[in-house]
Amino acid sequence: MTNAFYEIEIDPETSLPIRIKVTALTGRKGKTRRKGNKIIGGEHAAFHFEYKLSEFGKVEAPKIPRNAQKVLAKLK
Amino acid sequence: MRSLFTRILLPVALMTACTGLLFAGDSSKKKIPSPYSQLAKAAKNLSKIKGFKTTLTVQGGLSNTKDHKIHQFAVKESYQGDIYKGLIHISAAESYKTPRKGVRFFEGAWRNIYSDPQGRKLQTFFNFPQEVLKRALRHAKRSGRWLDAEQAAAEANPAKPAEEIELDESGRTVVSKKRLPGKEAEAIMPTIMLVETPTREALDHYLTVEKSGCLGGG
Repeated sequence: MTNAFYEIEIDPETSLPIRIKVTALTGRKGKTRRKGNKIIGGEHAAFHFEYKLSEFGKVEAPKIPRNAQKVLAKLK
Repeated sequence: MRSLFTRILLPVALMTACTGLLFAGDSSKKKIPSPYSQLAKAAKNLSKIKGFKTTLTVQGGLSNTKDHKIHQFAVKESYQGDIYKGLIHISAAESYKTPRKGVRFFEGAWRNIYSDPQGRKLQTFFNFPQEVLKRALRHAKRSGRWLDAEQAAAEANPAKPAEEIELDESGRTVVSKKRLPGKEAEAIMPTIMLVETPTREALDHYLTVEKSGCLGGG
């Protein structure tokens, strides 16, 4: 059994996302507590990816080293 | 003619006006937008911005609680990246990546990001927030909901305590309540939404983590 969900926080003033959290869960047979299809406890594997976004419009174009550019261009 | 006006038309006009006021008083509830529309707006606004900073925290392992907090870690990583158009620069890891490929400086040379376990993990975990939002948007119409809608509604239209309690001339208690002005009520909006994915996508997320090798084959 697997569950995944996004939790997204939006700045009400700018309407820009300031936090995005992705959670992925996988149950373990006989060990995970569930309610319908949802994992609600017991032993389970969990992964959280949390992005925090800031300084909108303040980041300039990065200067990629020439050798890095060459390798990147060769990759498919 | 005059009696017809006072008997029928005047009460009807009064009733219409009162009904209008009633609905106007309840308008703060109607002003809460759908999670889908707000997410679409946020994704559109983000796509217009060329550059911004992102911090990504990855935590994975075993949990035994309702809030899915991890007690036994298999992975615990943190990255800071500058995103500019279609490129992420992670200076601490000496890496540049696009959505599909990347390069990393290690062992004295620039190499394919997939050439070492650290780079592979980075490429797998660190996605463009714009792409993450796009995926969430696909399911927001069906399963998106505000997590703090009740709190926002309560703040916008609270059961206010008595503002003034006093005795009038006849000795009766007079309680006056003030309502929030329209603009103030409008400004209090929910800000955190939850979007659930179908099982298939949940499985994709898990397989991506597994492929990164951070689970160590366990």
